[in-house]
Amino acid sequence: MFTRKKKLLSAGGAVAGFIALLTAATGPAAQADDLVTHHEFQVNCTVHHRAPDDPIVFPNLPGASHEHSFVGNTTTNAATTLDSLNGAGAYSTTCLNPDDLSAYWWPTMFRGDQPVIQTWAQVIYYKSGILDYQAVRPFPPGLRFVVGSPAATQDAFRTAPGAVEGWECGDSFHNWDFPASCPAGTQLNVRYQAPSCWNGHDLDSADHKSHMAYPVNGVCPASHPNPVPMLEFKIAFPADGDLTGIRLASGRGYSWHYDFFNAWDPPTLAALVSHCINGGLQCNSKGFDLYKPDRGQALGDNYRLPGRP
Amino acid sequence: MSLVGRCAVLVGALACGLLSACGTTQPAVPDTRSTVNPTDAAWLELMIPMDEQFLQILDLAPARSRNPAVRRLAAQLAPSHRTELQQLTALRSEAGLPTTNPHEGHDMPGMMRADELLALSNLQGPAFDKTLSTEIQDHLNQSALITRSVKTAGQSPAVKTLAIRIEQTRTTQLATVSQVKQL
Repeated sequence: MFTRKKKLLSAGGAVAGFIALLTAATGPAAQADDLVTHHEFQVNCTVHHRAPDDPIVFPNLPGASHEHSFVGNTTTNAATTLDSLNGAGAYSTTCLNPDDLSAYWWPTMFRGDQPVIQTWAQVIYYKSGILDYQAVRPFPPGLRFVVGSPAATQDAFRTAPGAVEGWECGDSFHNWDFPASCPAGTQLNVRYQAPSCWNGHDLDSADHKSHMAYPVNGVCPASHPNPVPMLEFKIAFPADGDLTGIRLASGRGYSWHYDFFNAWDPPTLAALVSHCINGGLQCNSKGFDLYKPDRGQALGDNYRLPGRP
Repeated sequence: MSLVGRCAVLVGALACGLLSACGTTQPAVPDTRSTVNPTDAAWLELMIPMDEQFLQILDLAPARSRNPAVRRLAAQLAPSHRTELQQLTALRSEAGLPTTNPHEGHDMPGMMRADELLALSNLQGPAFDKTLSTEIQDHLNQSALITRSVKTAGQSPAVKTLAIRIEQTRTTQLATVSQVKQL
C-alpha cells in the first residue's frame, strides 16, 4: 500500500512535493491537538571509504591519523575544504539526500587486524538539543567540529554530556567500554550526541570543539547563544559473539568520537530544519513523518527540494 | 630597529612575510610560534612520537638480533633519528605546542601498537629480524609520506626546512635498507 502511495506521489512529481512544502510553511508549526513528541529528521548514509586521514584535525597531512570510516561526501580526504565538498556536486554522497555534501567520519572498528566492515546505511539524527525546538537554525556552511575525544578516559566517556547509552547490544546497555560479548546475530551499537550551541562566529577552533557548546538545562549558554541542530550518530557495527579482540583504530571503546563537516545545500537543510525540527516532527530523509502524514513532506520522493530533477 | 623588525612587531611576522610593503633585501627571521599552521603542528606532533617509538624499537636490536647486518643497520639509523628528534622537539617547543602525544593508544600507520611492540620485544633471531625489517620500512616510508606533505601544505619556514632535510635523509636511509641483503 505504501509503495502504491509512493508511486502516486512521484507521478504527481514536483508539484505534489511543492504543495506539501507550502502547507508546512504556511500552517502552524504544530497544531494544539497534535502532541509534539519529536523534533528531528534523520539522514541515512553508508560508509564510502576508509583512510588514515582527518581534514579537521590533521589538515593536508594524508596518513597522519588513525583510520577513519568516511560517510557522506565521496571525496573526503586530508585536503578537504568546504569548496572541495561543494565542488564534488550533487549526488556525490552516500547519503540518501543528494544535496547533503557534508562529510561525516568515525574511527574504524577492528577485530584483531581485520576491519569490521559496516555495509548498511547508518543513522545520523538531526534533533533539537534545546527545549525551544522552534529556535533551532541550520548549520552555517563550513561549520565543522569533533564530538567526543579519542583521548577520553572511561570515566570521561561515561560522564560526557554527549553520552546516551554507551555501547549496547542485545539487552546489554550502558557499557562504557565494549562488552565482553554480544548475543549471536546482534549488532554492537553506540549513540552519542553532539554539542548544539554555536558561538556564532567561528566555523572551527584550535581544539575543534570550543566554538561549540552543549546546552545547559535545555538552553544555549550566553557564550554560545546560537542553537543549531543536535547531531546524534547512531552507529551500528556487525560485531557479535566474543568481543575480546574488538578495538577501535583510536583504542578502547571509550575513545569513541566522530567528526562533522557541514556542506549541505543551504535551502535543503533549511527546509528540513524548519519542517521537521521547528515543526515538531519525526521525519525520515524526505522530511516526512510516517505518523503524521497530514503534515506533508519537505522534500520530494527523490530526496530533493521540489522542482529539482 | 630595522624596518623589518618594526614591521614584524606591528603586524606580526606572518603578515610581514606576505605583505609586499615589508619587502626588503634582508629576509625577516620569522618567529616559529606565529608561523606554524595546523599542518606544521600536526606534522611535529606526529613525527615526535614516531621517532620516539622507532628509537625504542632500534634499541632492541643489539639484544634480540643475532644478525650483524641487522644490528649494524639499527646502529646506523639510531643516531640520525636522535638528532632529528631533538630538532623536532625544539621546534615544537618554539611553536608553543603541548608535549602530549595526540595519537597515544591509537593504531597509527607506520607505528606499532603497544601489543605489537611487546610481542616484538619477546622475539629473537630471524623472527625478530623479520618483524624489525618490516617496521623499519614502514616507519621510513610513512614518515617520508607525511613529511612530503609539509613542503606544500606547511607554512613555517623553520618547519619546512627541517622537513626538506628529513625527506632527503629518508631517501638515503631507504636506499641503505634496500642494500641490506639479509633483511
